[in-house]
Amino acid sequence: MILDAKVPSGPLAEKWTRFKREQRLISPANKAKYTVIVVGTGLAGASAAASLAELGYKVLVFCFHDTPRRAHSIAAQGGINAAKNYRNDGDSIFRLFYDTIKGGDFRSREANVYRLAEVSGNIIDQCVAQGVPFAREYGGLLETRSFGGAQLQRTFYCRGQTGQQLLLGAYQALCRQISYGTVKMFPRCEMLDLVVIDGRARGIITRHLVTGKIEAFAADAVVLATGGYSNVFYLSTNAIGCNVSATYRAYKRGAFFANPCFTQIHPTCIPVSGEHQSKLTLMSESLRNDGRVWVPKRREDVAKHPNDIPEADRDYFLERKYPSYGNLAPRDIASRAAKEVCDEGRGVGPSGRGVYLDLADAIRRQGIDRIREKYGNLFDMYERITGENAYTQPMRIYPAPHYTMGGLWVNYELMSNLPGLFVIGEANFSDHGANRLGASALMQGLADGYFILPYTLTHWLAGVKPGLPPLDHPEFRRCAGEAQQRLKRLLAIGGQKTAVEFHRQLGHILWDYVGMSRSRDGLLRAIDQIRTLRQQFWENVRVPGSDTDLNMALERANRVADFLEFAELMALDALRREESCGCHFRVEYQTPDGEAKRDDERFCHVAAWEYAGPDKEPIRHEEPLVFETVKLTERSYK
Amino acid sequence: MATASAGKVRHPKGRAIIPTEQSGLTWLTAFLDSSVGAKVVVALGGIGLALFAIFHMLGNLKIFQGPDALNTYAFFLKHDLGALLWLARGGLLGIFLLHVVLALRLKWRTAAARPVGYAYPGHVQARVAARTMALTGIVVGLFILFHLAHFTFGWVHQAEQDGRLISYLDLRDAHGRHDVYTMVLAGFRTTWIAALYLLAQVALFVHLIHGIPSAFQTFGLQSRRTMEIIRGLGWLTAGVILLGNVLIVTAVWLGWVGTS
Amino acid sequence: MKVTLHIWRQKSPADQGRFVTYSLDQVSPDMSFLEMLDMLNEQLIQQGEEPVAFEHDCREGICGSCAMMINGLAHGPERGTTTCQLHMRSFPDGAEIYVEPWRARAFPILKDLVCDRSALDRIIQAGGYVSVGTGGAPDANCLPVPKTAQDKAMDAAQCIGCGACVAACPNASAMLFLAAKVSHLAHLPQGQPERHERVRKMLAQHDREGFGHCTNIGECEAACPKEISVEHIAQLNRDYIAASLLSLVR
Repeated sequence: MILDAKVPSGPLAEKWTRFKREQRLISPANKAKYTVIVVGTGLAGASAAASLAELGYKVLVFCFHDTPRRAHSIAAQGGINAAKNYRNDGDSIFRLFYDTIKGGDFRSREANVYRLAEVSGNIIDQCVAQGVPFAREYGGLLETRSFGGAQLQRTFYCRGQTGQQLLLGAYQALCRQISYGTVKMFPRCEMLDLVVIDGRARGIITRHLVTGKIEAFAADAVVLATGGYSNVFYLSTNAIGCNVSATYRAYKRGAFFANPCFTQIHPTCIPVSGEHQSKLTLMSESLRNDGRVWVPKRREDVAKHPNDIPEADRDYFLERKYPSYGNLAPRDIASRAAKEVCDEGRGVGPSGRGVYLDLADAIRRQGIDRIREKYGNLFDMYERITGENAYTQPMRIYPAPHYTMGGLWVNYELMSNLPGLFVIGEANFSDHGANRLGASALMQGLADGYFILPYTLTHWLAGVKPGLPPLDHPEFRRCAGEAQQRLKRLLAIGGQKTAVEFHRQLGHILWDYVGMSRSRDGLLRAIDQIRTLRQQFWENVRVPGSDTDLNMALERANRVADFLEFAELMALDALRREESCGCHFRVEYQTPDGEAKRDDERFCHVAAWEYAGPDKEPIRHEEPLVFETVKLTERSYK
Repeated sequence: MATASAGKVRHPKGRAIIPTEQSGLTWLTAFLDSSVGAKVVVALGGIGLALFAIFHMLGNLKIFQGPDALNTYAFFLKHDLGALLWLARGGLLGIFLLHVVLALRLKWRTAAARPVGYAYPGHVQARVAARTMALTGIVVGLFILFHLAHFTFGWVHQAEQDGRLISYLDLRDAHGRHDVYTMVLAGFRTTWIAALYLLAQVALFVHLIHGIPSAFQTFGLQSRRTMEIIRGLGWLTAGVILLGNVLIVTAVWLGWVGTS
Repeated sequence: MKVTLHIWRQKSPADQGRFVTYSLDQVSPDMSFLEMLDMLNEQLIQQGEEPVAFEHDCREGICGSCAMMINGLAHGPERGTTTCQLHMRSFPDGAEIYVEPWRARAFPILKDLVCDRSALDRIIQAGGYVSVGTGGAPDANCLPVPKTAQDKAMDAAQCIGCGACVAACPNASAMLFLAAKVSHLAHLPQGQPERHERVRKMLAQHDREGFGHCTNIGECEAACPKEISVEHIAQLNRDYIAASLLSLVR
């Protein structure tokens, strides 16, 4: 099956304008007749819910947190890109578009990325109007900084808490709608299933996490903004609660899952300290603006104190390998380079899995106060976690899973192949191709929620009659029953191991075989091991308590069960993509100097997977990527 | 926020609505009902009472100038002020009542805000004065009642003159004026009374070292820059009142004054 | 290292609740406090007991989910630190640790260490926003904001909504939370049109939720993981007084 992305015709720069000009509309009075469900309250979900409610739709919003202000968008530190060209450094919509497409190693849809760059400026305007306290110059105008994968200063930021401030902006917009009664908010409600009636998404099944009550909700359209699945690796920079369940259940109900193997490993995280560790902490990539990454030249120096290693014995490997971008090389490249030097035995720290990120030069040049002002909170966080003072000795960093470019397949209108199911933010696959550039996730989440979905959803809803299916429709009852059954089954196993132990084991498998470098043999082994582990899980997991009250062990087990199935899909996708591109590095496909080697002949497409049934191999569909404007080149940051 | 299953989950209280059309009375009710509004009135009252305490103390220092000075001052207050005296008395009483009633109501609500306390008590920077405001306030309030009963109404104790007991209010000096000087001497030469007064001064001091800076914070006048100054002002004012009052009581008690 | 934990266990909102003592061995000083609780929970599950319910998510000190009184201090002994960023190296070997939920009438306990903090959401819903809809915003640089005002706004805007201020306040007052939002928007030109109405509505909601009043004790500031200063409360008071007086004469 060839997937139709429904990209409007015409020149690249006019496609979005053309769509808006030709889209169908709904009169204000009629909008109130439509009900829209939004699942997730991160940047994408909260901004979409608020914007849709402002338009006049009846919006039901669900999140599993106790309040919509806690979604993991809040943890984004560095900033948000926008092609404002406030710096007079030659930025433009086209440049942001090109950087993003190139950063994604030419595996994203041209028209989507261009539209993203086009609305990027509006996002900054909108957020400033909401009162987001972006960093300012003394003259009162907005300040920007540079970020990985770009030679321009186009990143707007709020100290080291940009994600938090943007999310609070969206949360406040959402709160305003809640107070007007246009949004009905359902916190502590986890989506357990998607209800599809006659091929169209018609509602969701949720579990109230405190009362345990399973409930069904119907709508004219369902919007998933449920984030990414980096937690499939067990250790990642994601919050503990982040999971794949919503998108994976949608996949099992017929939505296609696109490019699941595109998972980003972020280069600057605090290294793992022991088996007890529950998550990894990111040190903002913005540190690479002023920091220099190095390891000792000789293996025998790794145990020495970093300040005792003279300049001549240090290998600034990013500057050496990529002289033009240096320490600002894109994430996938920086991560792989770090892994390489550690594999050579030159990694530092107790585990040998770490490289130095050194700000000593910047402190000397700009003074400790300026550095403290820019990165103080990061240095404090580093000290809290490691007990080391990064002002006097270099930080140790190591790559960690951070973001997933893959997600549910959507067309230009952000609708999946299931009519009525829209997917926004990290949960969809759309804009970042095989690698995301820093400060682009916030941009995409808010672009989808504020400026794209309100148009495309209206366009689609205008083509359907308003009206909800009855909640006692057999399909609702079946889905609710299945969700309940599954919880009961988990509770009944009564085995020996906790869900967390299985999750940790799954993480080891994926990190070893489906992590920063992948091979055919490894992937086959991974698939095999995942299947065994999944079988063991359903025989030997132990979930205490009941399903009628707050039971966090049950929630976790239910999510791990989905990860165990999803991991196999991820490995399978990695196996079938016989090329290296962006973050997807297959050792069989590399250039003589070890860079990713794309195969545009065979793989210049999106792989979208269709669920075929339990224990059946899913079906791989392709959406060819057509590049009308940019020329596919070998991505070089040298 | 609405919840999917209202079952065991608390119902939201709904939104607080501010009336847009207000009469002066609804405005006042709303202001006094709000926690900040009530606090502002308590703080205003507190500042008024503290100012009174300063002038009271300064006036009483006349005791060191001898009987005539003090008795003249007392006569002036009582007779020359005329209706102003009753205005001042009424005003003081009003301020006092507002201060006490609103503060106690706030305290009452606050106690309800945490029905179950912590098993392991702990605090970081809460000073004793801050945590004991209600307690010191009640002590000072009761003391004021005692003070009125003692010197204004003369119910508590009697002076001994020429071997017989005589009511405080009947003491007369050479000019036939109320002999306040002898009355104070009679009061503070009694050990238990002097001790009680000293104790109350300490309570007032503790109340004021938090109360004065706290009032500035309530008026919104405190910032990181002014914080130290305001704290200093609190200590200074409370200290001056303490010093003056304690000096009077101890001087009489120990016989530095009035024994020629 | 070894620790003895006294943890508040409460099955449901209606349950009485009590302290249960657990001793835990082989705790690594590099563990975060929550990882230590994870370890306890894993052991409890394996023994067939119910794990301790506690809220947590990002584990990097920003989502505001984690909420516990550790030895009588909100988020434990380290200043400017959330529970998830607190590490066991802050405790001596053999430490006795009391862990309790936030306690306030406005934060009813749901289970063990989990309480319902939705009152804070309702305070924001009462007016903690700038009423601008999506679209139609002028260019971001149309509105210059002095850097000092921006910095003040950002200091206040850092609030993560964890509720530690309420938990630590002897009066169970949410004044620092409320003040952080009021002060954030009051320092920015965008917040001016609704400034007076906002502070009155939000304070009314604060009082209505059953939080106590502020007696300027300063425990909130000491407990705040983002070290938001009580001077923002002064800002709130100032704004409220001005708003009230102006509403009388306008």
